Amino acid sequence: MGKGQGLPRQGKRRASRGDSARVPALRTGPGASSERVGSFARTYRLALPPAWQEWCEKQGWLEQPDAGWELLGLVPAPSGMDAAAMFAGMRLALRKTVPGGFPADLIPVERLPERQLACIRLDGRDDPPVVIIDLDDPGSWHDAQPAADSFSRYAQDFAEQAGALRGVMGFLHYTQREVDSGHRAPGQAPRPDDWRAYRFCSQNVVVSMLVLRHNRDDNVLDVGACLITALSRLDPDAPARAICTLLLAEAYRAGGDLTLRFVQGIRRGADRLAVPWPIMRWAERCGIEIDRDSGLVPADAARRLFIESVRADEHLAGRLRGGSMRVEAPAICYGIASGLWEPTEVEAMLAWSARPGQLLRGVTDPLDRAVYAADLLDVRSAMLLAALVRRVAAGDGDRKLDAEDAVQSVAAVADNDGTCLLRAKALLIDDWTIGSLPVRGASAIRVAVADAEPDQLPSAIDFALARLQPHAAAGPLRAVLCPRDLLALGIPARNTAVHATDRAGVVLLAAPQYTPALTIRAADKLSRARTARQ
Amino acid sequence: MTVRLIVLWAMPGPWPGSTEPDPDGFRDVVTAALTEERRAQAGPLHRDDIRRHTTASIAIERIARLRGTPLATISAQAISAWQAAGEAPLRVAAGFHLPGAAPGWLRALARCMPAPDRAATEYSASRLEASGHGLVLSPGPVREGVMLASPEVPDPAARVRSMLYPAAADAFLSESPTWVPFSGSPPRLASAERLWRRLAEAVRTGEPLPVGSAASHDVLAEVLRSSLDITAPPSLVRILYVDGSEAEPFPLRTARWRPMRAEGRSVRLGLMSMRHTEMDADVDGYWFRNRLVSTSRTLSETEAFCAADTIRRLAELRSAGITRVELVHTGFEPAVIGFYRGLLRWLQEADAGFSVQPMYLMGHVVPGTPWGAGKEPSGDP
Repeated sequence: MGKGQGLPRQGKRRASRGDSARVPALRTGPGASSERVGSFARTYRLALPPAWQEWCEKQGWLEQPDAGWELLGLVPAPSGMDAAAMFAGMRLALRKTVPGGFPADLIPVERLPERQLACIRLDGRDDPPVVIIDLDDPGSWHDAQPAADSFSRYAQDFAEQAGALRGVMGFLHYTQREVDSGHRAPGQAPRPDDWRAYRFCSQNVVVSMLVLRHNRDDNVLDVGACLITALSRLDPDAPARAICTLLLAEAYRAGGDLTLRFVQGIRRGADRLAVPWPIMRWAERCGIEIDRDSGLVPADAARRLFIESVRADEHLAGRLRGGSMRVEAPAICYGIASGLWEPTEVEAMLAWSARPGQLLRGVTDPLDRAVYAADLLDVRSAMLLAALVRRVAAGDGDRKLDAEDAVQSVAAVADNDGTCLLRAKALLIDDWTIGSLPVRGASAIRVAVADAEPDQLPSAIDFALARLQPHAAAGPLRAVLCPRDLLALGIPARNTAVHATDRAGVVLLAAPQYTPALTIRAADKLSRARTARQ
Repeated sequence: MTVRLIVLWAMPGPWPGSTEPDPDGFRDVVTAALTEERRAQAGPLHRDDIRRHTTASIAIERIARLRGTPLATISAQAISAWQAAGEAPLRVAAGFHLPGAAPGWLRALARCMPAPDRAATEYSASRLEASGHGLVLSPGPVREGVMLASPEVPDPAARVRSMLYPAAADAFLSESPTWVPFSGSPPRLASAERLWRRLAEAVRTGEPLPVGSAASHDVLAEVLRSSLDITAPPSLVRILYVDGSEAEPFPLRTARWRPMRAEGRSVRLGLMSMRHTEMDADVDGYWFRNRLVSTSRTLSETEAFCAADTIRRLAELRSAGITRVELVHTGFEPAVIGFYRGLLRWLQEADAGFSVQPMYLMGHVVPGTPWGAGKEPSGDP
């Protein structure tokens, strides 16, 4: 992600303890007179939006003094800059260098790093949107990325971020003093109930800064500072979604009931803060009601927010919302968020396993082999299916390393009969097929997994064919998916399997994984699931 | 839902202990699996141990499928339910049973079976006994032999229903401990009062007491200790750790310990090494080794390990003439509960007096309420 895609505000001033102690986290200027506002509008023949006019007359400007952020109005801010001066300067400076000059429908309101500006786009609305433009890329100005769908919201975010930044800086200064005074070892890892700061980045963009801890007294996750930026080229709520995932994963790992509580700093008994707007907007989009002023995201709402925030499609989210998964849902969401389980694996295990809750939490003792062996097979089947989904998502390519490498989306819906329906634009998996039936051209396929130890594979394939039999009459292409060991069985055994599947009109797919490696990985996953919350 | 089938194979061996030739290495892989099981009793299994056990088990099952005789098939879910019922024999879900134990395991299974399957299972046990064969349980895609029904086992929820102690809960709520050790710490005081009410509620409803997320370890220890001072009917409280694992219920039984004459020596120990290295010079040693406790397993398993280790060490200490321990708490709830669970068990069984003086690190060291002392007078509840 490069320039122009995020909003880490520029740090112009070095924050110091002295500054923080004396100066409030957010300073406001004197309001502009109505004459001044009217004069600016007349001079440039602009129809100023009422919401911004009112803000200019009331607030004048906003400043975060530690970092020198300024939201400009029509009165000079501490840096001496105001929106009118910036607007005039841009028009003058770019008059000759850019064809058409600086757009007349943009009013700059904030200077951002790397020669970017946040501008109000005058579109006739009373409270118009704010966009981010890159001064080095005039071609993109007409299609500038949105930062907020209204100026009011942008100003609210600015104010919240100013306070949160002060909270983070204050905590870092406090920690530094603790280290300097010898009360804290420099490399000491914080325990769940110690305050700690996180900086969450996506490539070169700081998405969020957080200060949090698990509060044992009240069994909640306290968030002492929460700064969430606008990564607007992506989904507008993407940063909030990512931060909800992070916060709720932390809350789960610390052993809490997922309740989040937003407080002002790290002092004991600190005042509550309202739930940050980005989280409120994301919750509202998910249909989850939260009382913003309470500063609390209660356990039930948090559980739902966790389900909506992790990387699960609508079908899987629906399963997790169901009452039968009420207890296990946080553990499963944590498993997905931490990378332990892929969403496809969860989908398969929820549909196919006889005891999915215990399986996904890895509760079986590995020495209880009779039960553990069944768990391993459930996980292996899910892993094989997930491997097929990754292969389909890669399209014509032969690998998919990350979600970003996918060239097409794949919908996987597992049924209780031990089969799974995959849908994609095009199934280009001929390199996995054994036998004569082609897959190329199909857009859907119903898969049954035949996973067993190598000497049991022929029986397992017969059993998988029996599972697919009810789907023979109509519907999509059918396939049996087995591990690579099939190719090592010897030609007679392989041919028998191929003839059986060909006769049934079913494609035989061999994944690249062999059973020993699958078993080891499945055992590791169960082991991690078992100890995830420590 | 996919039902995972487990086939029961009668296996001639050679099993460990026999001197017959072992051409396919069956005895070796069984010995390897048993070695890991023994190791698990002594301490935590590491990832490599689990891999060795899994690999050995896969080999055992493969050989059984080659040379064994299928007796019957049962679902893994059925074995799991049998295990959860809490009345199953030892190694109930193990992957194999030696010839000496296999008929007993099958007969225990037969007792839980509905009538039509019971006779068949008992017949299989007799055949196994007569032939001297052992039993191997192997997952399989298709059933072999008769398909056994699920065992008829008590509903696990019934166990919870049997753990309701309203009279004990009333007794706890009617008396409010003074929490003297926390008199200088209002947050701990408030936390102790909250946890006390939660404990009473857990005892009343049979719901588990969450441990690790709702109160610090010193508060937890003091609350459990205070419960022993209340005159109440004996009760149990379920313990649920933050990782979702549930430990054995903790016994809350009124204790009347007598003051003990100063007849033995005293030592000052930290609870667990490597957690507060700044106090290394102030203690004679540590009760638990961090390396053995902080390992990859569930917290309830860690607690069980700590309890077993404590019982062993207390016996050693007593035989060395030590009758009092000043224990400086270093945190980690499973170690704390495991220690006191082990202490209570040992005090109940050992014919000896012993006392533990907890010391809490709260900026400075604060003595907690002592546990144990002289032998409990007989006839006490």
